[in-house]
Amino acid sequence: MVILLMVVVFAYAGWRLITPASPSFSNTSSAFSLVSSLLAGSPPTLGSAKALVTIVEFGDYQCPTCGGWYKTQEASVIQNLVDVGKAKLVWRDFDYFGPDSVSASQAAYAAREQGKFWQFHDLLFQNQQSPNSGWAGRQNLVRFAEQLGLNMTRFNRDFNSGKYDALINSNHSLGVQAGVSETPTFFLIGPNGKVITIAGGQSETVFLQAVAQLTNG
Amino acid sequence: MVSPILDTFRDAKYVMLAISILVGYGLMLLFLDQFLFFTPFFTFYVPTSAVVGLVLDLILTALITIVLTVSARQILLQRAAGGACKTGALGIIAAVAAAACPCYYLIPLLAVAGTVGGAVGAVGILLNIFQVPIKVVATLILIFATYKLDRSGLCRIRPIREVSFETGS
Repeated sequence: MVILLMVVVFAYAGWRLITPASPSFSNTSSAFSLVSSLLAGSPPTLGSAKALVTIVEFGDYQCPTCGGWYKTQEASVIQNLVDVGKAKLVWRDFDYFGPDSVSASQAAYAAREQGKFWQFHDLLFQNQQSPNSGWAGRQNLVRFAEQLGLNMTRFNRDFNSGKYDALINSNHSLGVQAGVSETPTFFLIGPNGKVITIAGGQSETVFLQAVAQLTNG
Repeated sequence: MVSPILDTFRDAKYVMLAISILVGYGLMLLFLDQFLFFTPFFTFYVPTSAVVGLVLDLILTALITIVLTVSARQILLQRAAGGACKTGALGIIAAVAAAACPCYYLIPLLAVAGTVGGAVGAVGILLNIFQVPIKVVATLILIFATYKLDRSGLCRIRPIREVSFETGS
């Protein structure tokens, strides 16, 4: 049994090593359609609309790697790429850690109705604990909203309405379609539609290098 | 009394075997634990919060290399001598059991991809949370296996009976 598991792990690791992170972008026509889908709608976006590169992040508020990337890299990426107008950052949910992940997404969207999506996003990652330990339970999410000074009548109405479920589900489907196999996964879309995929919590230097490649080439 | 571990690494072919295990398993573990990235650029990156994980990975890789290599030699020697030697087989079992610990990454990753989920995904996520204690247990198993291999008297065959990989006679 153990040997079988080892064989599976080695085979999987080998497959991950030899296959591109996002095979969906290898075909030109499907790539065009995927890029359009990634940029479609009005997802929460940070930065200038004129920025040449769009960084689409697929993440889960309960995912420890997403939390780690937020705590160690996101601020530098924002400072060196978003604040200077080179790139804009887009958030798309890819909830798979459990029902609390979905609740966290719903709460973030409810905060967005009052213009505080990114503040709520920051608060979630700053308070992240072990997945499904209750830190992202509905009671705590309401507490986070109070902490941000949101209008609680409006927040509770939006949070409990279920109106974000379709968006959260379509973001997940889009991620699967784009080849997301771990979180966080970032799709960096250049001015000519070229895409560079960064899978995992990689360092800020990789983002700088990728953005430079997209804008120069 | 010569240590079977030191004795093993005096032989060039076992050193080669050890290097293969070290590189192969080490690369796999570093890749699965997201210290090593091959796309979009080849990068080695250790977040400050993951230093403990990296140290455990390196210890695990070194111990697995020692245990597997010495065990392989013990088994070959045992076969040549026709004697009873359980430490080689036990070492292999311990190494494989300890090396299997990255399996818990596979399950949540597959869950993410949408191929599995529910209870299986939940178990994977739970194991992911406890990856450091699991690695510590795997390290303890390997330390015990290393100790047993080093202390094993049954497998100390007279040098005259020592055999090569190729002939096995």
